[in-house]
Amino acid sequence: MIAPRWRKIFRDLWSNKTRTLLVALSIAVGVFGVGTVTHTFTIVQNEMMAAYPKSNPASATLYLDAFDDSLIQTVRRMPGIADVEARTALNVRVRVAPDEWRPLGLYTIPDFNASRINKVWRQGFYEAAPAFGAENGEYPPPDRAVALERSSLLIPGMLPPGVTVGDTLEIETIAGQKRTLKIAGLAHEETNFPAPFMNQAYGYITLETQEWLTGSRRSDQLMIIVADKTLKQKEINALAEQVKTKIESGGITVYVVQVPEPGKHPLHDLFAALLLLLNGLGFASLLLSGFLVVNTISALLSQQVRQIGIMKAIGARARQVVGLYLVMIILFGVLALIIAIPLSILAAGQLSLYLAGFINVDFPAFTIPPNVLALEIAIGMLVPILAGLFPVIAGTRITVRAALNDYGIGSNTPKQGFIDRALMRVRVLSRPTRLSLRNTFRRKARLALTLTTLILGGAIFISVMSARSSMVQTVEDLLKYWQFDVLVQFARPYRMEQLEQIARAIPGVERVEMWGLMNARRMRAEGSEGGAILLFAPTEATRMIDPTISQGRWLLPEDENAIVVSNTFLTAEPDVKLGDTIILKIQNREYPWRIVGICTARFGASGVAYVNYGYYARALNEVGRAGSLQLVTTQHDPEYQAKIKRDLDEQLKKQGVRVGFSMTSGDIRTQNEMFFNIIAGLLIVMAILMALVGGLGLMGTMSLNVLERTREIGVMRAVGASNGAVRRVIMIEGLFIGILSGLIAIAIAFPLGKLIAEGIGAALFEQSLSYEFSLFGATLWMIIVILLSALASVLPAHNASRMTVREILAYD
Amino acid sequence: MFWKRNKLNLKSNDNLYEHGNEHLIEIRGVTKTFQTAAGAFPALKNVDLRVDHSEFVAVIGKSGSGKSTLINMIAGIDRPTAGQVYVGDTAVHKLNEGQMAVWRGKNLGIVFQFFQLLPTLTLVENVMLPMDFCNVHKSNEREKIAMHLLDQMEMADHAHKLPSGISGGQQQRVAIARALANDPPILIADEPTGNLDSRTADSVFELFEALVKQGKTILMVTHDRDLAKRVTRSVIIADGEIIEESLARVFAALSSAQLIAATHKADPERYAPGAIIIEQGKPNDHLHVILKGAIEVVKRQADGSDLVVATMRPGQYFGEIEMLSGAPSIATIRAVDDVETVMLDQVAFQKMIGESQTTRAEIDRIAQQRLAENRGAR
Repeated sequence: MIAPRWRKIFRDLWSNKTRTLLVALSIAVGVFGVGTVTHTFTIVQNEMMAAYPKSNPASATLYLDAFDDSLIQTVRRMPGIADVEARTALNVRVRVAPDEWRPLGLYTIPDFNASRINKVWRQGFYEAAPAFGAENGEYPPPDRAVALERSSLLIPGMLPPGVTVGDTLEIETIAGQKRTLKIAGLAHEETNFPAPFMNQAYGYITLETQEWLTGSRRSDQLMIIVADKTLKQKEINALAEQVKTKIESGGITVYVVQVPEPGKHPLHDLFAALLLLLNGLGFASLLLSGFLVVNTISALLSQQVRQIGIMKAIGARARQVVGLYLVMIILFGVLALIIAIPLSILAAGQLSLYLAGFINVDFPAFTIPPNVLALEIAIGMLVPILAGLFPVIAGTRITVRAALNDYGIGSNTPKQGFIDRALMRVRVLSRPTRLSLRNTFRRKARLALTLTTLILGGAIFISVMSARSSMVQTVEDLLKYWQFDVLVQFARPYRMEQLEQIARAIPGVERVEMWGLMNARRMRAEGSEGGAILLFAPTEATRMIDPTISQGRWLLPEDENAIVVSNTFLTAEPDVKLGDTIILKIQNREYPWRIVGICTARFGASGVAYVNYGYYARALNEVGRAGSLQLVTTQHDPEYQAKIKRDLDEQLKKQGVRVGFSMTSGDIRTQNEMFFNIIAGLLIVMAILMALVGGLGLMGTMSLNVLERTREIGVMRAVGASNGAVRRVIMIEGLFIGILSGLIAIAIAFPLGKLIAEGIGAALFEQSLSYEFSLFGATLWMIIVILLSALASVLPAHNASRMTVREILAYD
Repeated sequence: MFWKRNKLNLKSNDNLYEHGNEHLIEIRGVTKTFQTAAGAFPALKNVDLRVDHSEFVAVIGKSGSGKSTLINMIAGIDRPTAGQVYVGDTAVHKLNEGQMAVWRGKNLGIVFQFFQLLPTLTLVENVMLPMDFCNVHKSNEREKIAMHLLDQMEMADHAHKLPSGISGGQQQRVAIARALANDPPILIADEPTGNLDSRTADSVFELFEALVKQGKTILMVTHDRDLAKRVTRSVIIADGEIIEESLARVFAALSSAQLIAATHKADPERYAPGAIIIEQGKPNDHLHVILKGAIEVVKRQADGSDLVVATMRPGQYFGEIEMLSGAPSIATIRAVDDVETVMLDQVAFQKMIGESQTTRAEIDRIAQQRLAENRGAR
């Protein structure tokens, strides 16, 4: 049989279900937040860590001119190289609607069965696209067929709608030939970026298919596995450079050498940033949850003061009473866990599916890791105990006499403070309004707690909204930075005149600028070389760049060996500062440059530097030659840009100009927006959660505030206040607290939002975002806070106004 | 260790409790001062009180007189600013909060004006709660004991109802049952009938009387003068001071302040059986109020023999005729058995009758009446 004191706890919980639920929900919010994030990331990360090495990712990948098998043999024989495999990347277009074409990437795998590097697997049934019929697919794909990478199915519009296994795709090669390619099935590659990140679908074909499409059997990518698995990225880089030199000595140009950090999934950094962001959400919800618990527990205890007094009077020791309420808190925790654990399992299931799809790892086998469960239980128990311990000890320390004398009104005769006196003097307000405002400030500790909870919720909401605005603003700034529509970088410098002619001949091209472009390395004082940077030499009259200068200035037309370096260059070379002269090694010769300015590099840019074209051309003996072409088109929509880019690529190819890399500003926008939208979407989810939690807290604390004052309402009615007057006094108080908290939240959100935006910038892009305070978020929060505080006060006020004076004043 | 001791010990062989206190409850020089917004407020001023085993004491006084503060001192609900409180072997004023709670739970039953039952527990659970907190009785017996107590209070039929389901009088019966849960020797009741109609109050009072017969000691704060008449003894408290009950009863017309002043001047005196308190023909300079025992008024006859003209008992006074006239005694006053009186000297007496015309008139009337009787006896 349960002892009566424990029965009291159960009955108290049961008889005040709303309050019980409110406290349990407050705790549940924190458990849910942290639990979901940890759960999701544990299972996705486990999958990611397990799957990636199985693909045998390439130590380095070289992008070069077309080559044949003999090169593979040459490289394989080089010291330090364990394995080499070739691949080809074809860019074709696929018809997705009668008049709409989208780019499609095709990778040739010369021998599917013998492929050992960056392994591509057959994908059977695909949860994200069950109707595709991947289970009936054929792999390796037969000739004239493609095995699509599964992530191609994740974003609509990349492929014709509703395609399934066995359907055919209508494609057009760069040379303009139309072909139909059968969909053989689905494949999966861990080592490549998922299709949504590339903003195009891609798949795998055989060498025969490649020959059928292009007439060539030659490859253009070389994947290398180094023999020594302990090598660091830098050492692999050195080895890859040797390979590059070897290849180039044979007359084949190597455009790009890519060396990823060994063992690191290509999306690792993004994943880490997401984790950071979501952990932030979890922590914020936990913090808020803690405040809600402190708030509700102290309100609950102030309602129980008399009962505490009685229990002490009939022989309960203080620690017995503390024990009682701690058990009550633990029960709240248990209830919270009952609510939060299933919900967080559900949410983690959905979120991990989304994340797994998004970063293209296998859908993790859904498990409930014991450590996650233990964490949730620990939070569900510890947060309320820690948060409730102080109010419980403080509440139960009250003497029997004080407890029994607590009449609910003016129990601890407040001193007239500055605020009270000030409020009394404000004669413009009506007496009931002054009463409301003075009530607000009467219990200062209580008010502080309520305000803190509300301010915290509001400040996080507005800050998160501001972080989102900042991301949007940053994309806009980025697009302002580059003022061109199409960018083409060449494998080697060409005569400007020739290229300009080709470009200007294309209909739709409005303006063309040619810039010098070179790879350069800093020569350090002690003789070592820095990492590669891109050295741009825009013409002095350039109108295609609008740089953000953080220190110093931009280039002046009369500058000679002046250079503007990016902040990312300074990160790599920390000893360099504004005004220094640095030595750059360009094409095996060394040139001194004086740093006159530091600009903020935009996304994707590593080390970048700008010099005047005039001086550059003379110094490097490159007069009249340039490596980069920018053009502005007559129309600026992405489709038009893409069309001009394709036309230009085609013309250049016809003229025998070798293009290293080309892109449109639309591509930059899409790629960045894709990335940003995912983060911004998460931020919105976070903001909504905060609004929910904050709103819950607001409702809870406001209604507890009113409940606590039931007796006072009785007194007001006994001295003749009408129901309306009672409601008004309480409503005004609620609104006042709401608005006050909203205003303080806005004041705090301004610097907090900047902090969060900087955090996101640093974690995701290694640079700060263009901060934009979200006025929309601030306004929205004010509306939420006003509506909720009105609602939270009017309901209990209404209930209180319905009670008779006798009922209210009767002792419980 | 004192808190291990389950019950208050009865007096030891030397008739004293552990701390040298002779009485079950002894309050010595207790002062209690509350700090309020308006400044320091003395609720009790140097109060002494003694209560014996099986006494039923009513503490009477107006609102704010200090009566609740006084019993709070005994119950350990509040602490004296100065002075000592001894209950049996326990120096209550020395206990810390935790020790106090355990001691209170086992030794005192408290009955409140507003019943103060826990609203979410049934009646029987409310009664079991003190047993639970103080770990008194075996846990499997508690319900049986609680039911038995409820049965005594005629509340067994309602045992499984919540407090909100019964009337105020019934709630108070349950509260008394709860106060008896740990079988404490002392019950403290703060206006137990204050919130009840007179019929219900009467039945609650009868319960108390029965408990006193069973050997309980009860201290009860009350406003109700009628009920107060039915107790063993009343302690009247005014402005934080205890007024000599006999003075208050005898000189009912005196104000609180006058009573307090008189109490301050009153000296207790004891007389053995046969002792001469006032001798005929000799001057007398004290007014005596009888607290205990009986006295005889003896008139010496012409033949030398003594004639008992009157017998006086507690609540009556003597010596007023000489005090008013200043003449030698007109009769001898002799103790019949063990007599206790309080005496007022000439100065205090004159001050008293000087300040209260009604009292003076009443004393005059009694004196004239007695003189008439005296003359008749001649």
